[in-house]
Amino acid sequence: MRLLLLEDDVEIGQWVLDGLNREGHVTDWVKDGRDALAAAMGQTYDVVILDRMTPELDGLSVLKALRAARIATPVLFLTAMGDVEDRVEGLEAGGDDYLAKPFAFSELKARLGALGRRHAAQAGKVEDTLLTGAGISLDLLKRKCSRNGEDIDLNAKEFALMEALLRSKGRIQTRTMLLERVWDMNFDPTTSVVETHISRLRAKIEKPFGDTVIRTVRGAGYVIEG
Amino acid sequence: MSLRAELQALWRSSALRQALVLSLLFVGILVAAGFLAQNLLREELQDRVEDDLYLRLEFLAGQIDQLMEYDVEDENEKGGLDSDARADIRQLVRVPVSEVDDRVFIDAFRPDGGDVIGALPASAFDQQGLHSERFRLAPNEDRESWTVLSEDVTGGRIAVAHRGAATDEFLELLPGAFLYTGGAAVLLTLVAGTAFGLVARRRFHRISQSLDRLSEGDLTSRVGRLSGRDDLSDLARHIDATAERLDILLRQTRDLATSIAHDLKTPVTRLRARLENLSVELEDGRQAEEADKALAEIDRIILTFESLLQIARMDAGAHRGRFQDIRLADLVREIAEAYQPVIEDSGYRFQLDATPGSAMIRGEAGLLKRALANLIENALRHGGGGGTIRLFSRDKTIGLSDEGPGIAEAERQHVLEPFVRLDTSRTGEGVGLGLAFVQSVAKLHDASLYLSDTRQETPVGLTVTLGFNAASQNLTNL
Repeated sequence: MRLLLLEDDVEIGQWVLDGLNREGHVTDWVKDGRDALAAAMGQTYDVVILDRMTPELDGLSVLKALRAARIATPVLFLTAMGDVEDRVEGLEAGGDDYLAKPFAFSELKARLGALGRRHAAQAGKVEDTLLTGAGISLDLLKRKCSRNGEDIDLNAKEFALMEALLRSKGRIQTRTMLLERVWDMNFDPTTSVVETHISRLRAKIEKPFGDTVIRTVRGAGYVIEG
Repeated sequence: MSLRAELQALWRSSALRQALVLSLLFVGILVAAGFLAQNLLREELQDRVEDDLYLRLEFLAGQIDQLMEYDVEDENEKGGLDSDARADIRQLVRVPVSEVDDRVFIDAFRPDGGDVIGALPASAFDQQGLHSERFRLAPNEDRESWTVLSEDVTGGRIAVAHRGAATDEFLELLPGAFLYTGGAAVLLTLVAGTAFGLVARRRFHRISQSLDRLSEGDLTSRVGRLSGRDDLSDLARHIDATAERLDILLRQTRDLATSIAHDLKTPVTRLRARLENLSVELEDGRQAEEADKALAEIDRIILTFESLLQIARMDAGAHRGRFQDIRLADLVREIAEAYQPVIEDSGYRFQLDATPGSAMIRGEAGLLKRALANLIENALRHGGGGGTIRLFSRDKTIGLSDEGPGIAEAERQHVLEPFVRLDTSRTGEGVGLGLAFVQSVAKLHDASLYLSDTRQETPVGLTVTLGFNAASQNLTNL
């Protein structure tokens, strides 16, 4: 993907840039808000990553200016302003995702993947009502789950968890992404909420079949391979 | 506001109370002054009466002496009076001899051994000197009070009397005068007091409204200029100046928090980035495990840091502007869905009591969820490893109870402070911010936070209850 990164801290910027390049993205890195706005107005990016407290023009103003100019490029905030209120403010202004510093690179990677994909998917496609992967099919209209033709009884949250994983088939879903998407929890619980639900889900979709569907990625999250 | 409440508020107004006290004081002074004035006046009048009586007596004595001298020279008799002399005396003492300023004086003479010549009764002659006496002049009149002066002269005794009633009448005017002026003054004071009370109440109301908003965390609230230049407008100015100062201080603190957030988060982000790189490069193995442990530690530091910042912002009244309608039962059910497996896998029984009653409150759902999650995680950590963890919502309360060792009553207030851990040997997880965070969420929502025993007979467990609109609830034993 082609990415724009606004980050005024040189060391963090370099780290993110290196990481993104390793992932095969093409990234333009700017260090102040005015340059970010000029770049985002002048070129097409798949995702724009904005810090909020930046010189010349803060990230939120950059976003507002972009949206005012009817530029719909997905924007991910990557900022030290991690309060509930800051988050809501960022999302209400038209941001697509919000990641508070300090952050795990795996988290940023996963969220960028989701954003770029979502953006591409929105380009005129009707949303699927049937999700499939690893022999599992999830009927979103009938709220039914089956594996190899065999019905599996999932409760509401297990279904939502399965849906989140299948939607991002092949891409890692981090714990925090799942917490936000499945339970609408924007904080990090000190207990293993996600792990416990994943293990319950596994007991239903893996145990009877004796294989692995949901793969755990160390230090990152979970993924269903396509 | 109802009339009754308006009147009650007026009654509490200090201006009206001052007016009442002042008018009572005024009435007191008026009564005392009236009493004094009456006495002084009475004495003065009495003195004048006595002076007049002495003058009259002297004059009469002189007249009668002359008559007697003449009579003695002429008749050379003792005791009796001839009819001419008697007629002269009668002429002298005819009734009423004198009326001065409506005052009635009567003179009379009683020759030795003879009857009284003049209008006074015989009793007026019984006592020599100045005295007062009650008698009537005619059978059909009322007895009245008289001041009588009686002295011996040649050939008999003279009595001059002054009717007391005249001075009394004069004196009776006084209380009336005092009553009217006093009454009018009291009435005027009360009217003025009520008016001042109303005006002052309006001004006090502005001040107290502004103070209320300030205490709620709205530091931009100001009383503004109050009309007039008096102590109240001075007070308002002082309050505004204080609020201004507080606002600046708080903004500085907030800016400080933000810059700490920025300044500390940047190095922590770098640190985390290096650790993560290390972890990725090390692949699997013992060293990679150590790197992951270090990452987990740093994440815990970040979590503590975030909680502290969040508490600081909540205590400063942030978030209030984003409050939305929240159904408490739904909130509790969502958290239950997330945590039930965690609780059960940790060896506890889980119970959800969410009465379908649809109490709505205004609030920030994310923070409330996080508060409940904190309570659950606290219970998992300190719940004693077994028993029932119960999540409940009833009317306008939500809360959690466990059956662990609980918290002694004396220490309950203490645990709401940040970084308090009662069991100091507990070095495991937890940042000691859990209850302080919940407390700040409660404060932000104007909710009350109660800690109690889960079962009272044999004090066991801890029940934490958040009461919204708590004034109407009895929450001691839920």
